[in-house]
Amino acid sequence: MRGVLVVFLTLHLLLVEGLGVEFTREVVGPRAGIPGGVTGVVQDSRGFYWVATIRGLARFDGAGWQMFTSEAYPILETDNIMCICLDDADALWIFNLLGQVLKLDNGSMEEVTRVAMNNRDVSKMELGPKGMIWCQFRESGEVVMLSDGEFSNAEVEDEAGRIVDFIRDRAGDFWIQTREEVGLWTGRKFEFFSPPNLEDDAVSAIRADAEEGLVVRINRGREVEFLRATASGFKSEPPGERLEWMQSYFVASDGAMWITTPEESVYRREVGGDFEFAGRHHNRIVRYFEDRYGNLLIYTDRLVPMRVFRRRDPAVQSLLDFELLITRWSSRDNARNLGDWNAGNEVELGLGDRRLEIHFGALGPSAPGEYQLETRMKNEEKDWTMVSAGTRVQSYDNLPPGSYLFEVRGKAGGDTEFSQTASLSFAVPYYYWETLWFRALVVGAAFFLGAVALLWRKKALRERRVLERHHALQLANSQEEERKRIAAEMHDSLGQNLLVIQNRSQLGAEDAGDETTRQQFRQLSDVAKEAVAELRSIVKDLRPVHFSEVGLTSSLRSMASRLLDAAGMRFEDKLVPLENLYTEDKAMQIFRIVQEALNNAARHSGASVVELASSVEERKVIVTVTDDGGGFSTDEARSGQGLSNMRERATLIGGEVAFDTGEKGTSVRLELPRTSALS
Amino acid sequence: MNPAAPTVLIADDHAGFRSCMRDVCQSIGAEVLECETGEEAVEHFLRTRPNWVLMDLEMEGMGGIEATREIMNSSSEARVIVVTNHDGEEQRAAAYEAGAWNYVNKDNFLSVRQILAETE
Repeated sequence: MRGVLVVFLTLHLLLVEGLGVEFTREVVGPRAGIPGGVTGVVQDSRGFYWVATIRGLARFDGAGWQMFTSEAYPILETDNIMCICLDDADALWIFNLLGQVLKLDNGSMEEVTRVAMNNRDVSKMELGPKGMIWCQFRESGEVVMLSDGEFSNAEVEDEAGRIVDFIRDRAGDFWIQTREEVGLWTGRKFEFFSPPNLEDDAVSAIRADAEEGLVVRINRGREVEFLRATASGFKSEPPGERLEWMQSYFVASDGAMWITTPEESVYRREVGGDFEFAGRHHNRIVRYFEDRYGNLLIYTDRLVPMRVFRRRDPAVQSLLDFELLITRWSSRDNARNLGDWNAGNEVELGLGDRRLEIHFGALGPSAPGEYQLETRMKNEEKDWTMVSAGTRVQSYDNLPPGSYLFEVRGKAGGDTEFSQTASLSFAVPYYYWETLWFRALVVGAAFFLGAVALLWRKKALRERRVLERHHALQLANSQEEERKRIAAEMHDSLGQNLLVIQNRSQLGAEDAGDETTRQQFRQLSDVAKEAVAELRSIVKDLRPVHFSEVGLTSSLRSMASRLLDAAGMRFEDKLVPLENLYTEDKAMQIFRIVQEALNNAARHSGASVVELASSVEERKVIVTVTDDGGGFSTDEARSGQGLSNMRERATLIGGEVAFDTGEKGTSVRLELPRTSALS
Repeated sequence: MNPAAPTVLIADDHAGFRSCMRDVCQSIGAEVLECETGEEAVEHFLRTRPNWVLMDLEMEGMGGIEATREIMNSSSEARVIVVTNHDGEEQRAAAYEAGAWNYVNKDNFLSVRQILAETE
């Protein structure tokens, strides 16, 4: 009979494995960085595996195992941990060999209570109703509660001694098991359920079911029956062909059932399906743990490594068995672990914090080197960067300010498509001097200051020109004053003396006794007369006589008449009154410009007629000197001082001089702004 | 003093020409009084009442035109001949307007003898 069984099993194994292996068995032990002697495994809501060992607590962070020992936590008096469990708030409770009960919450460890162990060993703990810590002694299997540093049965006195197991199901309900029935904590008391048609001591084991309730194993003689128990009663689980050989069993989160057989094989059965071979296990199996991905972790109470049966479903494209996660990020000023940030929100670093280190990985306690990861920092990198095997961290130094999206993607290797991604968005804030508004403000301010400086410079230039013009006008005025003084001096002194000579010569001629003397006196008188005439002409050139009294128009008219008469040219007078338009200083400059133009015409034009005209318009005053002579060449004009003198004088009084010359004559046009009276 | 001899007051600030005028006037037998400014001319005229005043136009202080006006205001009988180095129409008109008897340019001063002789 036994030989037939072996042949049957062998054929079955070949058949199952030949159809395609759905499970791989991996050893997770010291080579992977975790000690042997595993005493408990839990997986918290974030996906981290916590493994209790006799040499400390270990957590898989996606790339390797991180040890939590007395070295880092001196409060932990021994690293020999008997059991662990999780509470509703994801805090890890630890029970060590010295009777310390500790709580590890967000990286900080505190002692909750301490109990005298008296050579007893606790193999299982759970947080039961009313916050009581339920324990089970390893050797006797006795279930006790820990209260005020003592083990006691106070809370379940009636059931004391009957309870053989306790469990918190996946819905959070707390169950206890006796040999006859199972009890569910209703909030005030345990409500007991008794499976139908039960023989004595038939209830042999309970396991947490996938959604709610639990699976109860019933021994019915040689037969084994499984019932799914919920608050509404029991439901029979269909028998399976392998159940009769079952040594131990485990109910997975998806409702699938795992069993081990005496021939050291592990099988798995989907709900409604048949048992399938998952792998071999050579040691006595103490505990199972199935993670949220359907992988089974098996561990013993001996110093042997933990085994992981990884489920591989060929129908699922993803070959990664574990969810790819960003497990931690740290910057210069901050560090956050998985679950400490909201994945949907953007993480904002502190001002000036430009350094970032991001940890990532799949939180499965199996070989992380099997899958290939790539990362990319969007907004900083265009291409994906392959992460070397065993590395599960990416660092960035001196990130420029801005918004970023860190992405990591993974595949199982080979030509498979990338099947999983994880991302974290964060922002590096700008210093105010790096912000767009500040830069715009600076540019705006620079433009503003530039514009102000430009306007100021233009104003200063304008003022300087006005000042220069004023000084030049003052200089011109002082020249006029000097001319006036010289003219007066010549007229009143030299002129009078010449007149004395002239008159006395005439008297001398009258009184002379002889003709020769008379002639000499007459000649002397003529010379003196000529000198007087010349002197008068010079004086008039130097300063028009009584300019202040007679005004600009009359002065222009008499000057033009005198000059043109002397040159034998006809004077065409088209002057209109220009009085009370300009100050005497400016009027004198106008006089000089016209005098220069008339002098040029008289000396160089060869004209027969010279016209002097003026017009007073609303905004300007125009004075023109036009002759009908032969004109002059531009070169001659450039070399002459006269034209440039005219221009300079015009500039002094805010006007312009234009020349138009040709074969038909020359026209000099002086245009002046007509501002206000006497300006 | 010869009562038949005319008296002439010369007002001119140029000593050389004043001297020349004195000689010319004396050559026709006139008695000559001299001064250098308009104020002195008015003062001398009021005191001595000369037959003729030979008045220069440009002198320090009171000018010839104003002095002529003052003199003519004090006596409508006064005869002021403006003797000047200026030949402008404006000055000539101003002199006559002030009441001048005649207007003589200094480069033709000797003609004053004729004026004095004709109007005696």
